[in-house]
Amino acid sequence: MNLNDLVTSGHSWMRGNGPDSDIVFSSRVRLARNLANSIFPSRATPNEKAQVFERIIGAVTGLEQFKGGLVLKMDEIDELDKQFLAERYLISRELAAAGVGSAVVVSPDQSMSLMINEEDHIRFQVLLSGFRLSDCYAIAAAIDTELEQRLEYAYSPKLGYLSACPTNVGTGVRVSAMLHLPALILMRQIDQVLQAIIKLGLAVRGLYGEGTEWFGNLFQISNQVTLGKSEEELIASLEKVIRQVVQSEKNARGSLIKTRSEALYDKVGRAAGILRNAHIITSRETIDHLSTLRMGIDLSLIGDLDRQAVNELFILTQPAHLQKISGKPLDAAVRDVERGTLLRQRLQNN
Amino acid sequence: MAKPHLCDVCKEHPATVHYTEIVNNKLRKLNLCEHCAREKGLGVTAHFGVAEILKGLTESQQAETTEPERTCDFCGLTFTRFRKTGRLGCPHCYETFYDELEPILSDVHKKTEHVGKSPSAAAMIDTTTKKLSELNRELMHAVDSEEYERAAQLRDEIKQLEQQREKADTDT
Repeated sequence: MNLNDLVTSGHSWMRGNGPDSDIVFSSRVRLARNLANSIFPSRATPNEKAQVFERIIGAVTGLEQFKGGLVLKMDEIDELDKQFLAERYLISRELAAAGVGSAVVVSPDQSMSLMINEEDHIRFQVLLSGFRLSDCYAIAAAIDTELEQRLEYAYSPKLGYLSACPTNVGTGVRVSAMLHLPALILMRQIDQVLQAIIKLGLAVRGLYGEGTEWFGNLFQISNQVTLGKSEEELIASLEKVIRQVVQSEKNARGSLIKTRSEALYDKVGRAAGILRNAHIITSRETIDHLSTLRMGIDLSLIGDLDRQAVNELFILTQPAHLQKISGKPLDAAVRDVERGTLLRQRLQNN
Repeated sequence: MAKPHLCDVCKEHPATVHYTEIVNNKLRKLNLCEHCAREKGLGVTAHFGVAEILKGLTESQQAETTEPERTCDFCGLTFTRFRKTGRLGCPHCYETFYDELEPILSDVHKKTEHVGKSPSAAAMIDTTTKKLSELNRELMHAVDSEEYERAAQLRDEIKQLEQQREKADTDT
């Protein structure tokens, strides 16, 4: 398996299946771990980082979960490949900016990835389609338990797993779900919902766009606290909130159909029309229309489209993906044309 | 001093983060408190929040001290440096700067003691069990092929491991 195989290969978390997958696109659990008696990456010398890399990679490549996967060193791949991996959520922007000793290990189905020498020595994630936080954690915990037999972690009985930033100390766990909330936005109820989530001590961020500008109607909800609550408690409280948000979105979708059905059909039809026929289209416009299309599929307003195909297009139409697919660097204007071509191809017979 | 502008989101805390965005050609200005800004993922990384909290702490404490600053013996980090970056240098920093870190932990997490998964004694015992069964297999093989010296050596290793495990069991 090499990096280029990822371009065309499937990614299990984008299948659009699993519980509540009409609203919860994906679930993710990330663990932060560090090696005992080793300097954290931001303060380590390249040599120290390289040593840490060797110790971790030795332990990770022995794991069943990563067999047949991919090891990519940040000082050996180019900027486009890094951006490509970040668009797939396999690495963070921070890892992409790192050099010698920083790497990612990706499982064959891409549901698991482990970053070495990011902010912490080890950051690994499990990403699954649908609302499956507990499953994500069970898989992550099993990997963690295997790793701790091979590596000595920095751990204190009082403070738990010690992390480079005190915001991650304790469990080192970040649990999150990506939610698609177009109806709450159309019904202008989103601010209320987001504020309620924030008040409960959870974090929300728009998935695309910078800062508070969100588009594509995608939101990531995650825990903030990592110390003083067990992984199970953190997951349970997040699940509870997500269930409520899912219910609010369902209600909003229900009232949209009841009260504004014509407008809704029109919106979905127009989105499909543009995506299937445009020749020049930006990433932002694409994501907004894909979001509408996806809601149309979920509400059975449009019958001849496949949910997985639409899901994949959220990722495939991103800048680095377009360039990897065409096999050459493209500037923004050319990408808009390529994006149109890809959308027409993928949605024409679909 | 003028009354500080309150955060647009929580309307409770003073707004310290000012953010401008352009959506659909409309300019929107947001004034947020540090907490809400962090919640909204402004600045994207979580340590942004800590750096802000720390800045706040420094300003409220008297920053000028005459005492030489303490550094972490293991990695050489000073607390001033941590205040700037929001990142510690090594696992030992948690002991070195515990007094300074505790209020931050309590502010960020509301708690200061870990609950949850720990590197388990079970994991250690599990490794021992695996190793023992491996050694036993090797021993049988050695006996079968009449390699008595190797067998004696393996028997010693097994005995030693079993004793260690018994000790570990009684310790817990």
